[in-house]
Amino acid sequence: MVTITVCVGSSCFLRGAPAVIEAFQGLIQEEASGRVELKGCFCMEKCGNGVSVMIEDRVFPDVRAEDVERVFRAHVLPVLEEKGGCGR
Amino acid sequence: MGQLRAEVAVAQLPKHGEELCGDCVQVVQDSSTLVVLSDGLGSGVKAHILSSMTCKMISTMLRGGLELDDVIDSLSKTLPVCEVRHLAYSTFSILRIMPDNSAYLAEFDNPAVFLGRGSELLPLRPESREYGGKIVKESRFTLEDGDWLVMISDGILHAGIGGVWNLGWGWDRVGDYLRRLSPYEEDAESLARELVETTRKLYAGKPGDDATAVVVRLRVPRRLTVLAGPPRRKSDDARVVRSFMEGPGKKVVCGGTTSLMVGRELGRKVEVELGSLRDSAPPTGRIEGIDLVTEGILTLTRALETIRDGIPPRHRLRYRTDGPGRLAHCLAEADEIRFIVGRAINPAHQSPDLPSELALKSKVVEDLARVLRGHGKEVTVDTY
Repeated sequence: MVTITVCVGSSCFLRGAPAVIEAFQGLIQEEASGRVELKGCFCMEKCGNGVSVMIEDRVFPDVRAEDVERVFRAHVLPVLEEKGGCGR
Repeated sequence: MGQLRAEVAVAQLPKHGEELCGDCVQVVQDSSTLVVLSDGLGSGVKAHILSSMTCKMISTMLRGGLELDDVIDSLSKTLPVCEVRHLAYSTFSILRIMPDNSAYLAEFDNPAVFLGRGSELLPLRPESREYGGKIVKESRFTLEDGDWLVMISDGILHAGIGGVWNLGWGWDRVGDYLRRLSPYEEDAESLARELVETTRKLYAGKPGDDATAVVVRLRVPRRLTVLAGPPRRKSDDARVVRSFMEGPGKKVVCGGTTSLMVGRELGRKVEVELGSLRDSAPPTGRIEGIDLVTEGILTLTRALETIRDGIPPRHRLRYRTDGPGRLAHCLAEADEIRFIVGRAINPAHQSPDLPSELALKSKVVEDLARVLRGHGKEVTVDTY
């Protein structure tokens, strides 16, 4: 199980957090259903940088909806494979 | 027992074919509550003007500090008597509830006011007194938590006349109806609405007279504390959160950074309920022991928009699951509201590429406070 947290505080919300969440939801449903937990949070204290996303413990600042697929393939799927190997 | 809160609601139905209701209600709430109901003789414009005059005169004179005795005296001398019918043009009922929960009721030619406690009707035992040739019935009594009063015009008593009821709905049956309904309709507004809606049905949709219901419900005041924004000085965090948690009644936290501060100070987790995310506002959150957690400035702004032009009926807010809707519901329900506003500035909100919606939180809270005061709520704002 991998946890993705998207910030939905005032600044991130206005900079497109809902679209980012929607993009993640689509990808999770297609490729990793039941293996990824998508959560929201109110602030990662990086408000000046665009939408903040945290995957496991790593924060990715300034994620746009169009970046989501790239981030998902580069940073979510590998972790899932790694974890899958040692028997979920 | 401290001062009870009097929640007042009015529902009206004009006579079929008329645009104006010939009954008039004036409600003035400051440290005491004053309700005046007047029924102008006849219907339409003439009745409307007469009842409005009566209401306005009574409430203005009482507010101006005149004693009730003097007001009734000058009113009885001023009210014109119809030359044909030899009747006073307007009836009136005056209800005054004082800060010590004692009540004074003066009734002239209106149907007797209903006083209820739980699902029982209490007898009022009024004393008749003459003022300038008019017999006014006066009652004095003390109100308790949960008590309710219903003032009606005779249009309600006559509902169904010659149709469903040969002689109309009648005082006893209306009283019985209210007695049975009051435990289910807990707020004044829905009880008033139900009563008038039933009246409309009994008239088969064509009211034969103006019908008015005023419901007054007494209760221990509902208190609410809203924390919006972290204090300007971080060293004040602990003190502000403690003061917030010690406040009476419901607690609401508005703001992402604010919720993190509360979570940190209390050592509790802050969770976000993603399901409540809407296009117009961010989702709500959850902190153990806090009644509602929301994002800050956008949610506050949307909540302000929701109640700015009048508080929507309770049943329309009650089932909202989005942040602004739930916040508006909390604000609408509360009688006494304390805003604790922190003035820390989030540098990211100053960015020119964000919409100017991220106005100062303190400005939005100021607007909210003004609107809520306009709805008769007691509002205090403390800034840090």
